[in-house]
Amino acid sequence: MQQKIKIEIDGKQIITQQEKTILEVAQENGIEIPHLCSDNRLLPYGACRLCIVEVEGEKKPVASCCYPVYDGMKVFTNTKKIQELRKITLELLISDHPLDCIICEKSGECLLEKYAYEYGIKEVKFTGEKSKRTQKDGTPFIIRDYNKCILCGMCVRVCSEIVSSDAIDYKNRGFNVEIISGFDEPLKDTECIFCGNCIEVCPVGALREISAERKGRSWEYKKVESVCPYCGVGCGVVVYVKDNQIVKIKGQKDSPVNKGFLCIKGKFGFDYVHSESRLKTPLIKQNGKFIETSWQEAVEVIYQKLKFYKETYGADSIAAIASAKCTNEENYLFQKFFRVVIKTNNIDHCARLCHAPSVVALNETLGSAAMSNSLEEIEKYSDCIIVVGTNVSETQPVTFYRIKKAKNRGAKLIVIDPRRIDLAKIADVYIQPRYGSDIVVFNALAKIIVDEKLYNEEFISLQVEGFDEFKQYIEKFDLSEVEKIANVKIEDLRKVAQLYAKSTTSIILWSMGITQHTTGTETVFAISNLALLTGQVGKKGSGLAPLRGQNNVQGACDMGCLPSFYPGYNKVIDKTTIEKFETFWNEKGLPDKPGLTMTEMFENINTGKIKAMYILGEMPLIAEPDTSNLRKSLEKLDFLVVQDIFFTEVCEYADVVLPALCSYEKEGTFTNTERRVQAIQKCVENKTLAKTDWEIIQLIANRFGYNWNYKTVWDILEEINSTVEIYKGITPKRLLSKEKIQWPCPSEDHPGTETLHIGKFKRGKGLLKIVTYKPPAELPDEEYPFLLTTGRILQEYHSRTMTSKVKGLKEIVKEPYFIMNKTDAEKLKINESDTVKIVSRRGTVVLKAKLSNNIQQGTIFIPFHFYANILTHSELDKYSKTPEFKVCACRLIPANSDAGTESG
Amino acid sequence: MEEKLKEIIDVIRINKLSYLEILQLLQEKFNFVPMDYLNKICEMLEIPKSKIYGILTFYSQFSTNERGKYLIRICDGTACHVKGATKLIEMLKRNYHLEDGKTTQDKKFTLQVVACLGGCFLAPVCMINSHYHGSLDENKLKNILESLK
Repeated sequence: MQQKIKIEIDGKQIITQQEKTILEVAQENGIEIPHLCSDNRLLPYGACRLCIVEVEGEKKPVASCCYPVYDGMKVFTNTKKIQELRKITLELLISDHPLDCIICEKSGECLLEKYAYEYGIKEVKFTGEKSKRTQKDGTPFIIRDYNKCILCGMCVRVCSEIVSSDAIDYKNRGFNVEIISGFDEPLKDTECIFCGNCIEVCPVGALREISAERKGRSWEYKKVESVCPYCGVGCGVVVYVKDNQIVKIKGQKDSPVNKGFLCIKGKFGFDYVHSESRLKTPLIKQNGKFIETSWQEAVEVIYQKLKFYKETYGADSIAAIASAKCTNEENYLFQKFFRVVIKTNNIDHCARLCHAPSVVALNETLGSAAMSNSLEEIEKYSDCIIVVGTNVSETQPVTFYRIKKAKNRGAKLIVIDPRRIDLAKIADVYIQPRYGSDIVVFNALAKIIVDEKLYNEEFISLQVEGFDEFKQYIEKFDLSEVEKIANVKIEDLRKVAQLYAKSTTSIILWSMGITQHTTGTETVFAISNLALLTGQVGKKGSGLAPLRGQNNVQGACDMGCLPSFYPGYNKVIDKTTIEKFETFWNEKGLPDKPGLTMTEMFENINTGKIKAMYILGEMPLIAEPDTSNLRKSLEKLDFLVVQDIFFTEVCEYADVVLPALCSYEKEGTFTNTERRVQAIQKCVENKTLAKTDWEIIQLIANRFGYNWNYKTVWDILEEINSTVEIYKGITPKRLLSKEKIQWPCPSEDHPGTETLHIGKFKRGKGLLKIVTYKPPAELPDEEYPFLLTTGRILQEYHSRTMTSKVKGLKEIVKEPYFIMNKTDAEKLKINESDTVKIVSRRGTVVLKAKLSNNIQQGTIFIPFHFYANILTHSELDKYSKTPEFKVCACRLIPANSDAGTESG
Repeated sequence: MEEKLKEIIDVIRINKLSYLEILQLLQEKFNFVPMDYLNKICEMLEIPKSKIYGILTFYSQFSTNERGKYLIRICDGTACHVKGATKLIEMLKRNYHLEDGKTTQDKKFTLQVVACLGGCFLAPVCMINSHYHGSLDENKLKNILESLK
């Protein structure tokens, strides 16, 4: 506990803690001290000298941003002397700053302008030589107008301390100092990842968004708070709108999720909203061609067809895929439609392709599968962070910033990944196992923990079951298997086991690298074992963190868009579930058998069991494995409805295509990876015929004779409050007054739950599971000598439906590519950017080569956004039915044609 | 270049050189810091380019242009200026076509006009590589330069 101390600022008595600066304490107490180079999210720097104050007993004024408080301290922030000095500092700054404020984009938000106004600086007192800083190339997203730079270093520090790119720094010294990137090169030729956080912290007009140039000034914009539509972090954003156009997006500084920081997609990836190719009216296929139609007709066709298949082949001949990109309310209504109106549990969504193994495994071992801790906890409290099978700096950049800050604080970072991902650069221990060998690695860690008595006896006796059997099994585990199977040194694992077990708080983060295997669920069992053995769960900063992929994949699961769960994880097979929901929904005969998973649905099209399908905001032709086969299945479907914001490739197979609104055009809620439910606000008006997804579903339900009467999305949330226990206290009223609440939240006066599993697991005691290693389903052989692995990249999102419409992103990732090892490339005489044909047993893709030593020899990596799934196979994890996207075999043929795709 | 680069990278790795020391090693080896080498070193050792470039441009001991065999640092600080440093600089321009920051065509001399060499008591003073020469006049400086091979 930090000691409480008493200080006085401008005569005001303040009780505070040691280890804070004067500026921090002043800000906390509403005393404003001007400053240009200080930001609570960054380390103190003390460059601008504007925050000087007088401290009793000190001869000279001190910089309040760097000066720690002590007991009995007396501070004066605004004496005449201080005012004079600040004025001189401002005059000096302004003497080397262009006074073109009347045409400056930053006007109204510029701090220099604000302080100059407050201190009444009318003229430039100091004349003389001016610095010759000029504009530098920041395309495709950033204007770097260094003419206006005041050298506060905020951009340099955010790039280094938070983003860890180190793309920019100071050049020269004295009067000639300027900010440069790389060896003074255009930004796009350097390490810059275009997160735009330098713009977020720039106090003046030196760094700006290209998208907003000459589009308007601060006070002309409508500023709407919403949530980023991309990954599972769910960053708070402020959308700047003028004339119904999104002009730029900024981070929401007071968001508990991202504290104002964003990544390239959240900051710059919004062009798709206003894209000309958005779906504008419902479409119906007639004689193989799509024609525009009215809502009435589209709904009528859907009604007639679904009714026909339901009556002729039974409700289970119809299947539905929900969307992790739609709101909670829309997903709730979507599954309600299929359960109440159609009466099938054949509903699933893309969680099947990513974290279903985590959901299955953690539900079994702990009773609740969501991420157990908040992102803030990782940054503030976790002392040991294991990052395994997740390239977090590309897939959840803002979570990566948190890890980086934890690292700056002194936390130990362990990275386990077959690819040497960027995060490995800052890791204390980096382990590079072979693909699909994670179970051996975790079993070995468990064995070391047991052998060296690093386990937490008290925790086990109170909260864990199955320890004796587990101990017996693991004691017999042969450690030498680790070197043989995983190619990992036992000594390295000893280090990891020690760090993990002995740290006060340890957390394990993972994603697709663990789950997208035929042993996905078992690998998560093995991870859960470590937490249960050591008691590294149920504490602030300690726990298990499956990092969710899409912005509302957590919510879509919570809302019951799963074939074996009704909303709120009520199991289909429990009789009480059906009774409960029959009462809630006032409907008899709800389906009481688990439905088909997404992967099974496509199989069952081939067998003729599934006749009709309804796809909501999902593009299976990129996301599903073995897509050539999938195309054949889709062709066999009798009836397909696709509801989306764009005419995606899967629409080609549809009979009816319905235009939906995107998240910046509607209201509702998203639930992020840390279980935080946040409201989104309407930023722009869509003037086409497109509707919100929930309105469309309601239209169809009512055509079926139901009398649904949700007037706004908030009516649906109120229903969720009464049917989903964990969302009970997360009411529209609270969310609309800007609360962002983590479930479970059992009542309206409950603050929400930051940390799960404190004191007790949902299932009672935590369960240790014995797991054994099984190799991946398809490994390289003579005919297909390369191991192909897939994954996400920073600049693209999922099936590229949205990101492919963003001009700037296309300038950064110009063409589809794959990554291969440099030594392999030399052997095959493949050079950087050469076109290569990649062939697996399922198909062929043609891509440009990128060479890197960060990938093991004999292995290639294809970003899954680029049709990698033409090559992958559809072997499933037997528990969760998740495909093994992470390992298959392929061969490479250097080719001379252009990059593109071909299936076959 | 490949072999030389490998050798340099080994030295850096074995001695765990700091960014500053890497630059000093290059400057010492080549008499300037060749950017193509620095670029490769950054790539191979995963050093952020901006960070090392910041250091490179901060210190005047580093040069990114090829320097002559002899670096003449001539002081034009207050004491030296008063004692006639300007005349020395003019002489170098006249006789050797040297200007601040420039190198003679035969790559023998490079001139740097600096603000202080910490030898005011010897004013006017210059440094040629690591040697000080004080109480200079035009002739004395000329003789020194002529004597250098």
